[in-house]
Amino acid sequence: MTAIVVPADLWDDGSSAVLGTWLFSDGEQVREGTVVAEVMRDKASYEIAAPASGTLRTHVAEDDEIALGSAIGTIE
Amino acid sequence: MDAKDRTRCNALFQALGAELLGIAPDAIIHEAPADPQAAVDEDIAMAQLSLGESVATNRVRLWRNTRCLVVPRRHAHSSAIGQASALAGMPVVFRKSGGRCVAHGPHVANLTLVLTGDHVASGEPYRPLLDLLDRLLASMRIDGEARSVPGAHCDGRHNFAVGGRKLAGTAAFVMRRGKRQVVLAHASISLHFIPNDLAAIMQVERALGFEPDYSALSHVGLSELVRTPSFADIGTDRESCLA
Repeated sequence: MTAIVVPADLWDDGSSAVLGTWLFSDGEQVREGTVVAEVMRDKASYEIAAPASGTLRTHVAEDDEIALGSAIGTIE
Repeated sequence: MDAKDRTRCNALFQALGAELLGIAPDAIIHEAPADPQAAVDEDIAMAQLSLGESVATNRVRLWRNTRCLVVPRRHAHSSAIGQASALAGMPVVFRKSGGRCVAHGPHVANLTLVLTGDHVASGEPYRPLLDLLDRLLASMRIDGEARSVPGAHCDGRHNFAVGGRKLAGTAAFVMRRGKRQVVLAHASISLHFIPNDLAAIMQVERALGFEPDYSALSHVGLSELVRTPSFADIGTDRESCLA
């Protein structure tokens, strides 16, 4: 199982963001490197790629607040 | 928009293009194709092109779209989009950047900046775009500031505001593939503010579950600000526009 983590260096002021959208549903198969989610901060959208191939498990709902370095889901 | 307003918008777009080429000689300036979604997607194609290059790049595009409303793609699967489009009386298309609903059309100039390499900090995606906007509009003797504008649609801290009214809104999109990163930041510059846009935007946002409350008084178009003789004698004034 591999965690999908919001990169800690995506921005540097430590501000929080929200999970904008999941581009795949929980339980769907995804390939490593595929963009699976978008994080929204300050009207900017940041792509989050799958760190591995497998089954996507989403742990955070759309519009939930998230922090840099936090896990938003896993790949099983 | 009547024929005079359209002529005035064309003149303002051409003037912006001429000024931009003086700042960024490699800028792409064009009218968009008939398909409004394809026009929006050209921004992403430009970013993907930059992502695939090994050297640092800096791409600039000034363009106009056909009449439509544009919302973040997170709403693409909303069942309300069809109804929203019908209510607004124009197509609703999708972009990858954040924010809320905006209007495109002959009265809006879109400025897109795509940066890679040392040019870019993903945490500050707006600074290079705002610097470019500042230079571009200063060449037309317009001074503005980056700020939020209460009552403006798609409001944010990085609007370009003049006299406390929103002239341009901005949004951004960051792509990362390994260590390679591309920042796309774009601005929608109002060439001629049309109050009916706000009504259409609010209809769409209500259909999407938001509770918008925007005011025409929080917005301004370039046609109000550029008072050179070549522009002042064509088009309408704000009062008749708001009437």
